[in-house]
Amino acid sequence: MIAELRNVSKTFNGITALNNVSLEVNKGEIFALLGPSGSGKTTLLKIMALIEKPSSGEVYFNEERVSDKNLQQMRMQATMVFQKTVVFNTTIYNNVAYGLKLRKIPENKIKEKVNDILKIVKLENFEKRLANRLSGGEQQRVALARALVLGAKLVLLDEPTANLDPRNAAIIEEVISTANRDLGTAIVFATHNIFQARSLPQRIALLKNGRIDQFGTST
Amino acid sequence: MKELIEGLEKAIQLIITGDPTVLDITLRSLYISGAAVLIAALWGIPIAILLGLKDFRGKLFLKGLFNALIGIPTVVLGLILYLFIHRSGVLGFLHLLYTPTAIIIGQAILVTPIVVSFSVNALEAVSSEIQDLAKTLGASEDQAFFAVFREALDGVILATVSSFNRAVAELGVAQMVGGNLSGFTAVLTTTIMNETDKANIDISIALAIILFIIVFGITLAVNFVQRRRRT
Repeated sequence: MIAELRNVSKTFNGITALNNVSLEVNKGEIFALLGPSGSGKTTLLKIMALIEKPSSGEVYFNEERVSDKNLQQMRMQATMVFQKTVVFNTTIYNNVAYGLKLRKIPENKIKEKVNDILKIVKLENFEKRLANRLSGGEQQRVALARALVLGAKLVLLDEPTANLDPRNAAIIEEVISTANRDLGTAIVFATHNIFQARSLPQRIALLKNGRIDQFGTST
Repeated sequence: MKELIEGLEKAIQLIITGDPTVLDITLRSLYISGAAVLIAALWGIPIAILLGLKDFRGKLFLKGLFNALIGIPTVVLGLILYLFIHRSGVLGFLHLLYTPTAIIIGQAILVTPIVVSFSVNALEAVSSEIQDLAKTLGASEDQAFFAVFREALDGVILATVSSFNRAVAELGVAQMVGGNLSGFTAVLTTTIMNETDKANIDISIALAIILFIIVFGITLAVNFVQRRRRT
Protein backbone atom coordinates (compact mmCIF):
# COMPACT_ATOMS: atom_id res chain seq x y z
CA MET A 1 0.00 0.00 0.00
CA ILE A 2 1.39 3.42 -0.98
CA ALA A 3 -1.10 5.74 0.71
CA GLU A 4 -3.91 5.46 3.18
CA LEU A 5 -6.48 7.84 4.64
CA ARG A 6 -8.03 6.90 7.97
CA ASN A 7 -11.29 8.58 9.02
CA VAL A 8 -10.35 11.86 7.36
CA SER A 9 -12.73 14.81 7.69
CA LYS A 10 -12.29 18.36 6.50
CA THR A 11 -14.39 21.43 7.19
CA PHE A 12 -14.01 24.92 5.75
CA ASN A 13 -15.66 27.68 7.81
CA GLY A 14 -18.15 25.21 9.27
CA ILE A 15 -18.95 23.57 5.92
CA THR A 16 -18.04 19.89 5.71
CA ALA A 17 -16.09 19.07 2.55
CA LEU A 18 -15.08 15.55 3.61
CA ASN A 19 -16.79 13.40 6.19
CA ASN A 20 -14.98 10.46 7.75
CA VAL A 21 -13.32 9.19 4.57
CA SER A 22 -11.10 6.11 4.67
CA LEU A 23 -9.38 4.67 1.63
CA GLU A 24 -6.23 2.88 0.57
CA VAL A 25 -4.21 3.26 -2.61
CA ASN A 26 -2.14 0.25 -3.59
CA LYS A 27 1.25 0.42 -5.23
CA GLY A 28 1.05 0.69 -9.01
CA GLU A 29 -2.73 0.91 -9.32
CA ILE A 30 -4.95 3.40 -11.10
CA PHE A 31 -7.67 4.60 -8.79
CA ALA A 32 -10.54 6.88 -9.81
CA LEU A 33 -12.45 9.22 -7.55
CA LEU A 34 -15.78 9.59 -9.28
CA GLY A 35 -18.27 12.19 -8.17
CA PRO A 36 -20.17 15.33 -9.09
CA SER A 37 -18.79 18.84 -8.61
CA GLY A 38 -18.56 19.79 -4.95
CA SER A 39 -18.44 16.19 -3.76
CA GLY A 40 -15.02 16.68 -2.16
CA LYS A 41 -12.75 15.16 -4.84
CA THR A 42 -10.28 18.06 -4.99
CA THR A 43 -10.11 18.37 -1.20
CA LEU A 44 -9.41 14.66 -0.94
CA LEU A 45 -6.61 14.90 -3.51
CA LYS A 46 -5.10 17.94 -1.78
CA ILE A 47 -5.06 16.08 1.53
CA MET A 48 -3.35 13.14 -0.17
CA ALA A 49 -0.85 15.55 -1.74
CA LEU A 50 -0.22 16.91 1.78
CA ILE A 51 -0.96 20.52 0.82
CA GLU A 52 -4.19 20.56 2.83
CA LYS A 53 -4.37 19.37 6.41
CA PRO A 54 -7.36 17.26 7.47
CA SER A 55 -9.52 18.67 10.28
CA SER A 56 -9.45 15.18 11.77
CA GLY A 57 -8.17 11.75 10.78
CA GLU A 58 -4.78 10.50 9.68
CA VAL A 59 -2.79 10.13 6.47
CA TYR A 60 -0.21 7.39 5.95
CA PHE A 61 2.45 6.95 3.27
CA ASN A 62 4.14 3.56 3.02
CA GLU A 63 2.63 2.64 6.41
CA GLU A 64 4.20 5.73 8.03
CA ARG A 65 1.93 8.34 9.62
CA VAL A 66 2.31 11.85 8.21
CA SER A 67 3.05 14.46 10.85
CA ASP A 68 4.38 18.02 10.94
CA LYS A 69 7.85 16.59 11.51
CA ASN A 70 8.02 14.45 8.36
CA LEU A 71 5.64 16.51 6.17
CA GLN A 72 8.30 17.90 3.85
CA GLN A 73 9.95 14.51 3.34
CA MET A 74 6.55 12.79 2.81
CA ARG A 75 5.54 15.37 0.22
CA MET A 76 8.36 14.09 -1.99
CA GLN A 77 6.50 10.78 -2.37
CA ALA A 78 3.44 12.20 -4.13
CA THR A 79 2.80 14.95 -6.61
CA MET A 80 -0.39 16.52 -7.93
CA VAL A 81 -1.63 17.99 -11.21
CA PHE A 82 -4.39 20.53 -10.72
CA GLN A 83 -7.61 20.85 -12.69
CA LYS A 84 -6.90 24.48 -13.52
CA THR A 85 -3.48 24.15 -15.11
CA VAL A 86 -0.85 26.17 -13.32
CA VAL A 87 2.46 26.87 -15.02
CA PHE A 88 5.38 28.97 -13.88
CA ASN A 89 5.93 32.07 -15.99
CA THR A 90 9.05 30.71 -17.64
CA THR A 91 10.10 28.18 -20.28
CA ILE A 92 8.77 24.65 -20.54
CA TYR A 93 12.23 23.35 -19.62
CA ASN A 94 12.32 25.39 -16.40
CA ASN A 95 8.79 24.28 -15.55
CA VAL A 96 9.55 20.59 -15.94
CA ALA A 97 12.96 20.89 -14.27
CA TYR A 98 11.62 22.75 -11.18
CA GLY A 99 11.06 19.73 -8.93
CA LEU A 100 14.30 18.08 -10.08
CA LYS A 101 16.27 21.21 -9.16
CA LEU A 102 14.67 21.17 -5.70
CA ARG A 103 15.96 17.62 -5.37
CA LYS A 104 19.45 18.87 -6.28
CA ILE A 105 19.83 16.51 -9.23
CA PRO A 106 22.88 17.32 -11.42
CA GLU A 107 22.13 19.60 -14.38
CA ASN A 108 23.13 17.05 -17.05
CA LYS A 109 20.79 14.45 -15.51
CA ILE A 110 18.00 17.04 -15.35
CA LYS A 111 18.46 17.80 -19.04
CA GLU A 112 18.26 14.12 -19.89
CA LYS A 113 15.16 13.50 -17.78
CA VAL A 114 13.37 16.61 -19.08
CA ASN A 115 14.05 15.67 -22.71
CA ASP A 116 12.84 12.09 -22.12
CA ILE A 117 9.60 13.13 -20.45
CA LEU A 118 8.87 15.82 -23.06
CA LYS A 119 9.10 13.11 -25.72
CA ILE A 120 6.57 11.02 -23.80
CA VAL A 121 4.06 13.91 -23.60
CA LYS A 122 4.78 14.73 -27.25
CA LEU A 123 6.32 18.13 -26.55
CA GLU A 124 9.88 17.40 -27.72
CA ASN A 125 11.71 20.47 -29.08
CA PHE A 126 9.32 22.72 -27.13
CA GLU A 127 11.63 23.18 -24.14
CA LYS A 128 12.64 26.78 -24.90
CA ARG A 129 9.09 28.01 -25.43
CA LEU A 130 7.29 29.99 -22.73
CA ALA A 131 4.82 27.73 -20.96
CA ASN A 132 2.09 30.34 -20.64
CA ARG A 133 2.02 30.84 -24.43
CA LEU A 134 0.88 27.23 -24.99
CA SER A 135 -2.69 26.08 -25.51
CA GLY A 136 -4.63 24.71 -22.52
CA GLY A 137 -4.06 21.13 -23.65
CA GLU A 138 -0.34 21.63 -24.14
CA GLN A 139 -0.06 23.31 -20.73
CA GLN A 140 -1.78 20.33 -19.14
CA ARG A 141 0.77 18.06 -20.83
CA VAL A 142 3.58 20.22 -19.38
CA ALA A 143 1.96 19.90 -15.94
CA LEU A 144 1.77 16.13 -16.34
CA ALA A 145 5.40 15.95 -17.51
CA ARG A 146 6.47 18.11 -14.55
CA ALA A 147 4.78 15.66 -12.19
CA LEU A 148 5.90 12.43 -13.85
CA VAL A 149 9.53 13.47 -14.31
CA LEU A 150 9.99 13.33 -10.54
CA GLY A 151 9.44 9.58 -10.57
CA ALA A 152 7.07 9.86 -7.58
CA LYS A 153 5.37 6.61 -6.65
CA LEU A 154 1.98 8.36 -6.42
CA VAL A 155 0.62 10.92 -8.87
CA LEU A 156 -2.68 12.69 -8.11
CA LEU A 157 -4.61 14.14 -11.03
CA ASP A 158 -7.56 16.48 -10.58
CA GLU A 159 -9.88 16.20 -13.59
CA PRO A 160 -6.86 15.87 -15.90
CA THR A 161 -8.81 15.95 -19.15
CA ALA A 162 -11.61 18.35 -18.20
CA ASN A 163 -12.09 21.02 -20.90
CA LEU A 164 -9.51 19.43 -23.21
CA ASP A 165 -10.03 18.68 -26.89
CA PRO A 166 -10.18 14.96 -27.80
CA ARG A 167 -6.58 14.86 -29.13
CA ASN A 168 -5.04 16.32 -25.96
CA ALA A 169 -7.34 14.20 -23.78
CA ALA A 170 -6.20 11.07 -25.63
CA ILE A 171 -2.52 12.00 -25.19
CA ILE A 172 -3.03 12.59 -21.46
CA GLU A 173 -4.83 9.24 -21.03
CA GLU A 174 -2.11 7.45 -23.00
CA VAL A 175 0.63 9.04 -20.86
CA ILE A 176 -1.20 8.07 -17.66
CA SER A 177 -1.46 4.46 -18.85
CA THR A 178 2.20 4.39 -19.94
CA ALA A 179 3.46 5.82 -16.64
CA ASN A 180 1.40 3.31 -14.73
CA ARG A 181 2.42 0.34 -16.87
CA ASP A 182 6.12 1.13 -17.46
CA LEU A 183 7.08 2.98 -14.29
CA GLY A 184 4.67 1.37 -11.84
CA THR A 185 3.39 4.81 -10.79
CA ALA A 186 0.21 4.65 -8.75
CA ILE A 187 -2.30 7.13 -10.17
CA VAL A 188 -5.29 8.59 -8.34
CA PHE A 189 -7.45 10.78 -10.48
CA ALA A 190 -10.63 12.69 -9.87
CA THR A 191 -13.25 12.77 -12.55
CA HIS A 192 -16.95 13.33 -13.04
CA ASN A 193 -16.78 11.45 -16.34
CA ILE A 194 -18.11 7.95 -15.74
CA PHE A 195 -16.75 6.67 -19.08
CA GLN A 196 -13.22 7.81 -18.21
CA ALA A 197 -13.59 6.32 -14.74
CA ARG A 198 -14.44 2.98 -16.30
CA SER A 199 -11.88 3.02 -19.12
CA LEU A 200 -8.68 3.77 -17.17
CA PRO A 201 -8.70 2.62 -13.57
CA GLN A 202 -8.69 -0.67 -11.80
CA ARG A 203 -10.64 0.64 -8.79
CA ILE A 204 -13.23 3.35 -8.43
CA ALA A 205 -14.56 5.18 -5.37
CA LEU A 206 -17.85 7.01 -5.71
CA LEU A 207 -17.77 10.22 -3.69
CA LYS A 208 -21.00 11.95 -2.72
CA ASN A 209 -21.44 14.92 -0.35
CA GLY A 210 -17.98 14.41 1.14
CA ARG A 211 -18.50 10.71 1.85
CA ILE A 212 -17.41 7.63 -0.04
CA ASP A 213 -20.68 6.11 -1.16
CA GLN A 214 -19.22 2.92 -2.56
CA PHE A 215 -16.10 1.25 -3.95
CA GLY A 216 -16.06 -0.71 -7.19
CA THR A 217 -13.87 -1.99 -9.99
CA SER A 218 -13.85 -0.99 -13.63
CA THR A 219 -14.58 -4.48 -14.88
CA MET B 1 6.49 78.95 -32.09
CA LYS B 2 9.82 80.60 -33.01
CA GLU B 3 10.70 80.79 -29.32
CA LEU B 4 9.99 77.08 -28.95
CA ILE B 5 12.14 76.08 -31.94
CA GLU B 6 15.03 78.28 -30.80
CA GLY B 7 14.69 76.89 -27.28
CA LEU B 8 14.70 73.35 -28.62
CA GLU B 9 17.85 73.99 -30.69
CA LYS B 10 19.68 75.46 -27.70
CA ALA B 11 18.43 72.68 -25.46
CA ILE B 12 19.80 69.99 -27.78
CA GLN B 13 23.12 71.85 -27.85
CA LEU B 14 23.20 71.95 -24.03
CA ILE B 15 22.60 68.21 -23.86
CA ILE B 16 25.09 67.29 -26.60
CA THR B 17 27.88 69.46 -25.16
CA GLY B 18 27.26 68.06 -21.68
CA ASP B 19 26.58 71.43 -20.04
CA PRO B 20 27.90 71.16 -16.43
CA THR B 21 24.79 72.76 -14.88
CA VAL B 22 22.42 70.46 -16.75
CA LEU B 23 24.58 67.46 -15.89
CA ASP B 24 24.77 68.42 -12.22
CA ILE B 25 21.00 68.81 -11.90
CA THR B 26 20.35 65.56 -13.77
CA LEU B 27 22.74 63.53 -11.62
CA ARG B 28 21.29 65.04 -8.42
CA SER B 29 17.77 64.14 -9.53
CA LEU B 30 18.82 60.57 -10.26
CA TYR B 31 20.58 60.29 -6.90
CA ILE B 32 17.74 61.77 -4.85
CA SER B 33 14.91 59.86 -6.54
CA GLY B 34 16.97 56.67 -6.72
CA ALA B 35 17.70 56.82 -2.98
CA ALA B 36 14.04 57.59 -2.23
CA VAL B 37 12.84 54.58 -4.23
CA LEU B 38 15.45 52.33 -2.64
CA ILE B 39 14.21 53.31 0.84
CA ALA B 40 10.56 52.93 -0.25
CA ALA B 41 11.32 49.48 -1.68
CA LEU B 42 13.19 48.41 1.45
CA TRP B 43 10.22 49.04 3.71
CA GLY B 44 7.44 48.83 1.09
CA ILE B 45 8.12 45.36 -0.36
CA PRO B 46 8.08 43.58 3.05
CA ILE B 47 4.80 45.39 3.85
CA ALA B 48 3.44 44.27 0.46
CA ILE B 49 4.48 40.66 1.12
CA LEU B 50 2.67 40.78 4.45
CA LEU B 51 -0.47 42.28 2.90
CA GLY B 52 -0.37 40.11 -0.21
CA LEU B 53 0.37 36.71 1.27
CA LYS B 54 -0.77 36.72 4.89
CA ASP B 55 -4.22 36.97 6.42
CA PHE B 56 -4.71 39.10 9.52
CA ARG B 57 -7.17 41.50 11.15
CA GLY B 58 -7.14 44.98 9.64
CA LYS B 59 -5.58 43.81 6.36
CA LEU B 60 -8.38 45.24 4.20
CA PHE B 61 -8.19 48.58 6.00
CA LEU B 62 -4.42 48.79 5.44
CA LYS B 63 -4.76 47.87 1.77
CA GLY B 64 -7.43 50.55 1.34
CA LEU B 65 -5.26 53.09 3.13
CA PHE B 66 -2.25 52.47 0.90
CA ASN B 67 -4.48 52.58 -2.20
CA ALA B 68 -5.92 55.91 -1.09
CA LEU B 69 -2.50 57.39 -0.34
CA ILE B 70 -1.34 56.81 -3.93
CA GLY B 71 -3.19 59.95 -4.92
CA ILE B 72 -1.87 62.26 -2.21
CA PRO B 73 -1.04 65.65 -3.78
CA THR B 74 2.73 66.15 -3.66
CA VAL B 75 2.39 69.74 -2.52
CA VAL B 76 0.23 68.67 0.43
CA LEU B 77 2.82 66.07 1.46
CA GLY B 78 5.51 68.72 1.00
CA LEU B 79 3.59 71.10 3.26
CA ILE B 80 3.12 68.45 5.96
CA LEU B 81 6.82 67.61 5.85
CA TYR B 82 7.71 71.29 5.92
CA LEU B 83 5.63 71.76 9.08
CA PHE B 84 7.48 68.89 10.71
CA ILE B 85 11.04 69.84 9.76
CA HIS B 86 11.09 73.63 9.65
CA ARG B 87 13.12 75.36 12.35
CA SER B 88 10.40 75.36 15.03
CA GLY B 89 8.77 72.12 13.87
CA VAL B 90 8.72 68.86 15.87
CA LEU B 91 11.76 67.60 13.94
CA GLY B 92 13.36 71.02 13.45
CA PHE B 93 16.36 70.05 15.55
CA LEU B 94 17.44 67.67 12.77
CA HIS B 95 18.11 70.66 10.45
CA LEU B 96 16.75 68.80 7.44
CA LEU B 97 14.91 71.63 5.73
CA TYR B 98 16.34 72.56 2.33
CA THR B 99 18.63 69.54 2.19
CA PRO B 100 18.73 66.65 -0.29
CA THR B 101 17.95 64.32 2.66
CA ALA B 102 14.62 66.09 3.19
CA ILE B 103 13.67 65.52 -0.45
CA ILE B 104 14.75 61.87 -0.25
CA ILE B 105 12.59 61.29 2.84
CA GLY B 106 9.65 63.14 1.30
CA GLN B 107 9.83 61.25 -1.99
CA ALA B 108 10.26 57.92 -0.17
CA ILE B 109 7.04 58.61 1.75
CA LEU B 110 5.33 59.77 -1.44
CA VAL B 111 6.10 56.61 -3.43
CA THR B 112 5.71 54.03 -0.65
CA PRO B 113 1.95 53.60 -1.34
CA ILE B 114 2.78 52.91 -5.01
CA VAL B 115 5.38 50.28 -4.12
CA VAL B 116 3.02 48.65 -1.61
CA SER B 117 -0.25 48.73 -3.58
CA PHE B 118 1.21 47.67 -6.94
CA SER B 119 3.28 44.91 -5.31
CA VAL B 120 0.27 43.63 -3.34
CA ASN B 121 -1.74 43.48 -6.57
CA ALA B 122 1.08 41.57 -8.28
CA LEU B 123 1.39 39.08 -5.41
CA GLU B 124 -2.37 38.54 -5.19
CA ALA B 125 -2.65 38.11 -8.95
CA VAL B 126 -0.26 35.17 -8.81
CA SER B 127 -2.50 32.22 -8.30
CA SER B 128 -2.43 30.82 -4.75
CA GLU B 129 -2.15 27.52 -6.59
CA ILE B 130 1.45 28.45 -7.45
CA GLN B 131 2.24 27.99 -3.77
CA ASP B 132 0.40 24.63 -3.70
CA LEU B 133 2.03 23.61 -6.97
CA ALA B 134 5.53 24.31 -5.65
CA LYS B 135 4.76 22.27 -2.53
CA THR B 136 3.48 19.30 -4.52
CA LEU B 137 6.75 19.38 -6.48
CA GLY B 138 8.71 19.13 -3.24
CA ALA B 139 9.21 22.75 -2.19
CA SER B 140 9.47 23.68 1.48
CA GLU B 141 7.29 26.50 2.85
CA ASP B 142 10.10 28.99 2.19
CA GLN B 143 10.77 27.69 -1.31
CA ALA B 144 7.03 27.79 -2.12
CA PHE B 145 6.85 31.37 -0.87
CA PHE B 146 9.86 32.25 -3.01
CA ALA B 147 8.16 30.66 -6.03
CA VAL B 148 5.17 32.99 -5.55
CA PHE B 149 7.44 36.01 -5.13
CA ARG B 150 9.40 35.08 -8.27
CA GLU B 151 6.14 34.81 -10.24
CA ALA B 152 5.12 38.26 -8.97
CA LEU B 153 8.56 39.76 -9.55
CA ASP B 154 7.60 41.46 -12.82
CA GLY B 155 4.81 43.28 -10.99
CA VAL B 156 7.08 44.22 -8.09
CA ILE B 157 9.69 45.58 -10.53
CA LEU B 158 6.95 47.52 -12.33
CA ALA B 159 5.88 48.97 -8.96
CA THR B 160 9.46 50.08 -8.29
CA VAL B 161 9.87 51.61 -11.75
CA SER B 162 6.53 53.43 -11.46
CA SER B 163 7.67 54.73 -8.08
CA PHE B 164 10.89 56.06 -9.54
CA ASN B 165 9.02 57.75 -12.37
CA ARG B 166 6.63 59.34 -9.88
CA ALA B 167 9.54 60.47 -7.64
CA VAL B 168 11.73 61.93 -10.37
CA ALA B 169 8.79 63.76 -11.96
CA GLU B 170 7.22 65.22 -8.78
CA LEU B 171 7.56 68.88 -7.96
CA GLY B 172 5.69 69.63 -4.72
CA VAL B 173 7.92 67.82 -2.22
CA ALA B 174 11.18 68.86 -3.89
CA GLN B 175 10.13 72.52 -3.94
CA MET B 176 8.61 72.67 -0.45
CA VAL B 177 11.35 70.91 1.51
CA GLY B 178 14.26 71.25 -0.95
CA GLY B 179 13.86 74.90 -1.81
CA ASN B 180 15.55 74.55 -5.25
CA LEU B 181 18.93 75.75 -3.96
CA SER B 182 21.30 75.94 -6.91
CA GLY B 183 24.07 73.36 -6.73
CA PHE B 184 22.59 71.80 -3.60
CA THR B 185 18.90 70.83 -3.78
CA ALA B 186 17.89 71.90 -7.29
CA VAL B 187 16.45 68.94 -9.20
CA LEU B 188 15.02 68.59 -12.71
CA THR B 189 11.43 69.53 -11.93
CA THR B 190 12.16 72.48 -9.63
CA THR B 191 14.74 73.86 -12.05
CA ILE B 192 12.35 73.55 -15.01
CA MET B 193 9.82 75.62 -13.05
CA ASN B 194 12.39 78.13 -11.87
CA GLU B 195 14.11 78.60 -15.24
CA THR B 196 10.76 78.99 -17.02
CA ASP B 197 9.89 81.74 -14.55
CA LYS B 198 13.16 83.43 -15.49
CA ALA B 199 12.36 82.99 -19.22
CA ASN B 200 15.34 80.63 -19.72
CA ILE B 201 13.29 78.42 -21.99
CA ASP B 202 16.30 76.60 -23.50
CA ILE B 203 17.44 75.20 -20.14
CA SER B 204 13.85 74.30 -19.24
CA ILE B 205 13.39 72.42 -22.52
CA ALA B 206 16.77 70.67 -22.16
CA LEU B 207 15.84 69.48 -18.67
CA ALA B 208 12.35 68.47 -19.80
CA ILE B 209 13.85 66.36 -22.61
CA ILE B 210 16.21 64.70 -20.12
CA LEU B 211 13.30 64.01 -17.76
CA PHE B 212 11.41 62.32 -20.62
CA ILE B 213 14.47 60.29 -21.61
CA ILE B 214 14.98 59.11 -18.01
CA VAL B 215 11.33 58.09 -17.53
CA PHE B 216 10.91 56.33 -20.88
CA GLY B 217 14.46 54.97 -20.97
CA ILE B 218 14.20 53.24 -17.61
CA THR B 219 10.79 51.78 -18.38
CA LEU B 220 11.97 50.42 -21.74
CA ALA B 221 15.18 49.01 -20.23
CA VAL B 222 13.22 47.22 -17.50
CA ASN B 223 10.80 45.76 -20.07
CA PHE B 224 13.75 44.43 -22.04
CA VAL B 225 15.38 42.88 -18.98
CA GLN B 226 12.09 41.28 -17.88
CA ARG B 227 11.65 39.66 -21.29
CA ARG B 228 15.19 38.25 -21.16
CA ARG B 229 14.71 37.00 -17.59
CA ARG B 230 11.81 34.67 -18.47
CA THR B 231 13.84 32.68 -21.00
